[in-house]
Amino acid sequence: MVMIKMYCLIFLCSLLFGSSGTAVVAKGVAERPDGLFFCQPEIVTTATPDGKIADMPVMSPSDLPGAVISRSEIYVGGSLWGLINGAADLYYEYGFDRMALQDIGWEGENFRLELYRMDSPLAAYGIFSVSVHGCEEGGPVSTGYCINRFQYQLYSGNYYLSLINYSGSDKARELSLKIAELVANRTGGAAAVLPGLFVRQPFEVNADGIRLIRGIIGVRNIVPGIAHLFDEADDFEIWHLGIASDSGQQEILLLKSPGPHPLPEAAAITEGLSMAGYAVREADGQVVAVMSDDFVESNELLDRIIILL
Amino acid sequence: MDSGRRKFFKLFAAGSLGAGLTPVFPASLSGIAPDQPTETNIADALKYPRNENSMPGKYPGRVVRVDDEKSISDGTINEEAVYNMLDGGMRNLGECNDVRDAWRQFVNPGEKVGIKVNPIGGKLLSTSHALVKSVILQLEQSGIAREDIVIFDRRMQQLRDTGFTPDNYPGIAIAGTEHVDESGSYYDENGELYSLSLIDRDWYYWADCEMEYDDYMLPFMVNQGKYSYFSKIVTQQLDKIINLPIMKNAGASVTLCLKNLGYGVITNTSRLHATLWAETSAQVCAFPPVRDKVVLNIADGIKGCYDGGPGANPQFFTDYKMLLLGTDPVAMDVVGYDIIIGKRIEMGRQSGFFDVGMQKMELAAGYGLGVADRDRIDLRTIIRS
Repeated sequence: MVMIKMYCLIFLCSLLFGSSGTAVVAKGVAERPDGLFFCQPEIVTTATPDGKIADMPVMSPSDLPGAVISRSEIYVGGSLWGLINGAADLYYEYGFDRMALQDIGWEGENFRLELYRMDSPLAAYGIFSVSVHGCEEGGPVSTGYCINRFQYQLYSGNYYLSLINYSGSDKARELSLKIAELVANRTGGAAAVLPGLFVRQPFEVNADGIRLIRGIIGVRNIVPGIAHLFDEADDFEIWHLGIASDSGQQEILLLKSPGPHPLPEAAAITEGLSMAGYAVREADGQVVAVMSDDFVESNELLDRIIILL
Repeated sequence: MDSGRRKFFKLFAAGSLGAGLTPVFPASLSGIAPDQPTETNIADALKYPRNENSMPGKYPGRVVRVDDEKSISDGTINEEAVYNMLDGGMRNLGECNDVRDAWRQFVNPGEKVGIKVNPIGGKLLSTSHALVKSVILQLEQSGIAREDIVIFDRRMQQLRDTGFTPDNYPGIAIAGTEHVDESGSYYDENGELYSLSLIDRDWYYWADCEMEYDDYMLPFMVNQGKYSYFSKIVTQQLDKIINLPIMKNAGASVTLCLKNLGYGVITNTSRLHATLWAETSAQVCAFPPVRDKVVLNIADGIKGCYDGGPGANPQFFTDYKMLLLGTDPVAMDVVGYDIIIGKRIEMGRQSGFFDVGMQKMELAAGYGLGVADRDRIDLRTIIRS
């Protein structure tokens, strides 16, 4: 009871003296006899004078003169689920560290800034690659950013930024560029290394369509027809590229392990892809598969890819 | 597996995971499909006798689609248009001239009526206020007292963030199982989760899988283990439920009527996402607190999405400019599925329809919750402008 009172006192003091950036952390979880949990709350104030939240390079009022930052929160660990429910699972699948969320009002425009720090540049690229579509400006691979009327997305080092504006106006777009530039300048680092196959001829022109899948949720979202092959797999990467050709759509899959070892269960996956209608071949611990309307064409493309590999 | 990924969770599942094939599931005593990866207590739900309100409700297989080009323009929803869409849709569904008569087929004065919204997309993509306000207005016009109406979901904080507040809805109760107080805390003065007092341990969905949650996630799961408890909001506080999902995709499937209910009324759901995504959506709806209380579904398709769901990614938003209405959540989901997946294919996000996307609808049909066979769905379309 003394401990509870002490924690309550800390809790109340934090309410009185907390600042604009906070994170709620539950400490001291204890299991009750009925199987439910008793948690002692602790509020951690994480905002710093320059606006950083737990070392995340977000915006401060000095960055954006006249801006009002009405919300500044950090989501660590499983708490992302509390913000976006099941959509969080996709971020966890890629390797999620933390996310900073800000609501910003600036020069009459309103923005929602979500800055995700992933556990590697590849993880950041991966989540970015499956979140972009139909970029009005930029391209995921060629520029590292994607701009649409209501959203600016970029990946930089370990970070993925989603900056949403609510008006879709030219002014909002202009201000988005300024905010994104500030974020990009603070988040530089190693870039994701993409498979060489896709960033040279003849695929280079399609490189902006490359998507990285790192788990079953991504598989279900992007290649649902083969999801059953990965229900029990958790050690794989799938590089997905869709190409529009004269004869229709072609889909190329490059399946590999995340490490130097061969793709686990490559033989079973190869067989399953073949049964699903792909032209497929295993090479050097990787699996390459091609799907198009014409199986002969698929095999011809596959032959060219194997040579390039 | 990279130790940095999913390091917050440990997933434990007894038995082997299935091959993920779409089950062809005839109704059976056990309720367990042969290919179901994990055992659940669905058989318990199927033992309860049905009543006149049980899904699929008064009009099995009937779905009314109301289209109005003027319902939204440049991101602004036309509230009057939505009201009129709802009015016309309800009269068509109930086959009557007066919308009050239509509503009175489903709700009665003196009953506590819950409106299950979907706020997880935040301000960008949640059940629209235009629709919710139209529903409330028509309920009141039909004799339901304002104080008998409850807007609810799992997450009180998300309800607040999306504008479902007492200020915006004076006199309407706003309820969330994962309750937060005004300071934003999930814990009371004794350090206990508020939500513990809002779960009903007499009603639960048991599944033979579990996941260990970290301290950050626990307030949103409420409990660990193999039990997912129903919310008392549903089991004890409400007599009837009106389900207002949004037309969104979830990968190559949809998150619509069944999902909005299946995952919206129980605790400890993350473990189910991983292994029983479709099964949970169908099986939770087979339990009497849901099966016998959800009398009407109105899918908000004024603004929805075709990718990025169930989250909110603006570049995948689309104005479907429609409402779908029906008592049959399975038929509703099938109709919505065809529209949303069709849009995904049109926009190049998917190459075709895949069986896996229909799994939860077929399961739910097997439990007698509605009609999944397109040949037996009575789709009525009203084009207003």
